[in-house]
Amino acid sequence: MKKVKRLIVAVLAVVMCFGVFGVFTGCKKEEKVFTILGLEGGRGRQYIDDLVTEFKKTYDGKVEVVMSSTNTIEDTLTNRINAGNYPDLIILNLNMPKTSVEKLIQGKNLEDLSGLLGENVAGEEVKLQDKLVDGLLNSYTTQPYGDGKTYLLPAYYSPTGMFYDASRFGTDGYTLPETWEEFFALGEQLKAAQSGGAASATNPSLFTFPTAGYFDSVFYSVLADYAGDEKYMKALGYTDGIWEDADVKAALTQIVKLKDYTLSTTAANANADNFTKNQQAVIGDSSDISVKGTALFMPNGDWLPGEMASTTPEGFEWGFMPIPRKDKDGSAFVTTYVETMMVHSKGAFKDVAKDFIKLYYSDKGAEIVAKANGAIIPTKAALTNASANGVSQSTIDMYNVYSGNSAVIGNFAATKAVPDLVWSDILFNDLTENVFATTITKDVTTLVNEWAARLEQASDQLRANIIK
Amino acid sequence: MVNTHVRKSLPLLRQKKKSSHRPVYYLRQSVTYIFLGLFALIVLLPLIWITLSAFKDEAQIGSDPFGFPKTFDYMNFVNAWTKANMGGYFLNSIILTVGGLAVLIVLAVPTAYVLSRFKFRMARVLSIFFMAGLFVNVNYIVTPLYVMLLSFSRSLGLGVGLVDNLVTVILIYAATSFAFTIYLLSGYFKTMPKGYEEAAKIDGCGYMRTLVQISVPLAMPSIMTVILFNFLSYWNEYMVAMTFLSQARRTLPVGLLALARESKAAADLGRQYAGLLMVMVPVLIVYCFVQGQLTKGLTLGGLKG
Amino acid sequence: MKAVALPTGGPKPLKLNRTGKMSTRKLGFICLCTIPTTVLFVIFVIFPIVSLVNTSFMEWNGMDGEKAYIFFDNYKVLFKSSNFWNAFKNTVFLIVVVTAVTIGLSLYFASVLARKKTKGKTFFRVVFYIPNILSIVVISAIVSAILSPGTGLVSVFYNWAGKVYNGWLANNKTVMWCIAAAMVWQAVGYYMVMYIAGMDSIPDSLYEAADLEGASSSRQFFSITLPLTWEVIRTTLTFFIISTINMSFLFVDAMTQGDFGSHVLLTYMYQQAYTNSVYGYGMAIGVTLFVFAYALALIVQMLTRREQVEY
Repeated sequence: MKKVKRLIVAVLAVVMCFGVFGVFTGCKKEEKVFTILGLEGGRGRQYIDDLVTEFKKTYDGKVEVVMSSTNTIEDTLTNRINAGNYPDLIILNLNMPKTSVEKLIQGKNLEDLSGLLGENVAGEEVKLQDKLVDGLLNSYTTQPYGDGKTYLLPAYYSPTGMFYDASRFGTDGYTLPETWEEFFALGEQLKAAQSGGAASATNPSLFTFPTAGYFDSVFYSVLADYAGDEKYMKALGYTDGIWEDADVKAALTQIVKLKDYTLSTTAANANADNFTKNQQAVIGDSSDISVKGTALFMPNGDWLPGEMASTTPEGFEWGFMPIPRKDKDGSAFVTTYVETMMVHSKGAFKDVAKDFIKLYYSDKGAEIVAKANGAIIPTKAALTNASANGVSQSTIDMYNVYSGNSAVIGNFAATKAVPDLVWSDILFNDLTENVFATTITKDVTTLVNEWAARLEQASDQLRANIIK
Repeated sequence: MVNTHVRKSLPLLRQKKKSSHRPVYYLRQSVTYIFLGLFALIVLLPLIWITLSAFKDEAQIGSDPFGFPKTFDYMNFVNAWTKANMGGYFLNSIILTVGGLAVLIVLAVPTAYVLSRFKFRMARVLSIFFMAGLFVNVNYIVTPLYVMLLSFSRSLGLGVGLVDNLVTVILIYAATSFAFTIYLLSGYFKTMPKGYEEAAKIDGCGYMRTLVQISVPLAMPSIMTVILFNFLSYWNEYMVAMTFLSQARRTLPVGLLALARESKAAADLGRQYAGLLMVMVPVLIVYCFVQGQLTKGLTLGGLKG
Repeated sequence: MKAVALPTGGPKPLKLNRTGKMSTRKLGFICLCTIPTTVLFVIFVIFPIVSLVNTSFMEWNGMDGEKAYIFFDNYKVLFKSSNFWNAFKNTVFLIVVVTAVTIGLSLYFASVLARKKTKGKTFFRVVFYIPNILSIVVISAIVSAILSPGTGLVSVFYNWAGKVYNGWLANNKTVMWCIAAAMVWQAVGYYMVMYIAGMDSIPDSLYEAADLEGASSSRQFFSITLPLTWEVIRTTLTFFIISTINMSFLFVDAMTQGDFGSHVLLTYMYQQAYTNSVYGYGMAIGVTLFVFAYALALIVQMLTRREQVEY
């Protein structure tokens, strides 16, 4: 017993020592410094570190960079804000697991950056709004309240569309479909070849999707294509009756119709653990023998090649095309994924944050980012200088999808959150169980009507909560 | 008291028993072992699977989940160790776990003892009060707790000194497992024979001495159970650690979280499995040690009594 | 060996003390043993709970928005929500199924492994406990290795039978059973350890005497093991309720993310509080769950109360 007692006393003593030490080291005065808080995802953190190094040439103060992964960054942000320790510049996306950016928007806690657009970027005589790629600002992503005021800026933009295995198309393979009609015709052809059997590399299904969330790149494209600009904006603004509109329903129909041409194991793998299996299915010669080559197309974004790099076979080439369009002679609509940055209105260094943004969009900034992570920032110059800045040709090719086609940005008007109503579930995520599950046997029209009814009902609730 | 008498006559009983073995007995025995073996298999196979996976490269994990690794590549382990900064976080994890357990045992064992062995008006109220804590999930009180302690710390002029502090986290760990510990220990204290304590009282033992020298040794199996379960939860805890502690004081699970799959970034499952296995090993060692103690209580108590 | 039943189980009431008052020493001892614990518990557990209950009457997004009292509005929405009732149904399903199966298996294993004559008991004790120390990430990886279409183990069997397998987790009818099975697999070792600690205090002599009298193992189990560990089993019933509620969050989150109608109360709460930014509503779910679990545990405790058996 004495031994145990001594041990306990010793342990407690050690703990106390650490505690006292901890209190004293924590005692130093809290010092406010310019803080950049951001997501360290596929873009890494090197680009911020390099930008900070450049920024410090003109800024004397200290700069704190807080970056971490999807799993932790939102908790860090929430804790800091709840503690009144506001970061100044925030680089974080909409639709994160804990929707932190949406919360900042709901709380009206973002700085209005409209004025900044009219100012010159660092070291150049060009206004910020003229530097930016056209078409990115007029959306609910950058102007969440729909009042023409810009609160969020695009830190990155990237095209999404249909990915396929380039080696399976062309001279001795399948022909690339351009319209939905051609797309589904190919689907019929494949189904006939399968004649009821399971999909295989030689008899693939037409379509698969990683998770239902990836339908965003299809959804906004078909909506803009089938419903036109005006109805597109109305839908995004939760206008009454919009989901009952025939053109809008035609857009929804294209998505529901995909059900009949989807690889049968897709729904079961459409979750965070197994979505890569659905992605492997598109690779004709995948190392994953169980699914390899069982599907031809999937919607995805420009991060896909990097994400799959370690598991794609040697010499594999991704093919990328826009989402199929309605008319052969029309243009396609490319849903553009925008990563955002913003300034917290309660930050102590708002002006410093704005100066940092000016550096970011300058040609120098574009060069630093390109060298650090090979990405193209949303300025016109960044695209034209991409090659000179060392951006890889395959990345530049992805951005070529914009030539002749239109960019659409998908994001709905900002609303106050409504209890029990998760819009992203009704819009996309629930499609797995309500439409694409193999247990669902209803016909396309019924499924479209049910989906439209769910959207309409939810829109009614959200409309009443739009933030003005 | 009763069982000590029985114990003395044991050898006699044993000798008689041997002659009573029949084929039915062996049949029953073998059925038991088949059940045990079957369940052991259900447990071990996945574990072997995950261990093999930790040695595979990314491509093989996806394509050949049940095969042997093509090359025994220990780089996954090296990567996990360095990327999750495990070496640096190891010490923090140990301090928090050991500290939390020490505070917990020193405070909760006497409380459980008093609440289950003494009858006083507040005993039942306190029991129900503590029981309420069972239904509270730590993850949901972290935020209000953090905000509360931070404003307290600031009002004392200590800045973040009181929150970014290992002692605070130790106290939180202990406090949030009081409910579980007191509830579990009370259950055991209630079933413990009272004879020893009564004897000690007659011998003129004070309350504290009775507790430390009689009751605690008697309750050793359950105290070990408590240590085991709480060791596990402290060792794996990350919500509190992540909220309260800054970079320098982070723990292993927080480091490990950085290894976990990113939704849209490359998944490196082999490295993740390797990291998870390494975090698991200390727990397995502690369990192997503790499970031997789980059965030693009564004999120890018997000797002292 | 007659079992002796005591009327209340507890020691003498304090007021029967000779002086009619609690002695100072005793009072001091009680205070010393309870006050520090209570103080810490109030600061680190009760205060935050009160703050959470308070939040459940508010409209707040949990981070940066305005707080406004809306009183019972959150609760009104809650009780009308079909999502809530579905999650509630799933939670109750798991509590019942997981508890029933786990208690059976773990009592059986504990009764075998607590007895001194069982060979290799250390090995089995260690092995059975392993699922409990596995991280949930590992468990969900294991489950998907078994259940995923294509490479999964189940899929292999389906192929042998010549049937098409599209995933049990992607099917409303089978998904909850898969989650329950995984939870049982993980929990058996945990409760086994608790029961072993309880059963170990039963003297072997009781069993030996019973052996002599020719009582079968099952008879021994029901007339010796069960009554003498009843108090421990009662205690674990409460743990079953709590841990099923807490663990179901981890399992559902890792295995299905609530797809195919598999939300349980905690995943629903998490989804609402964080993803859907209605923190106040989320806390209302939490408070409801708290009250439900507490009430259920008290009812179970009441129904299982028996006179204490001693040896």
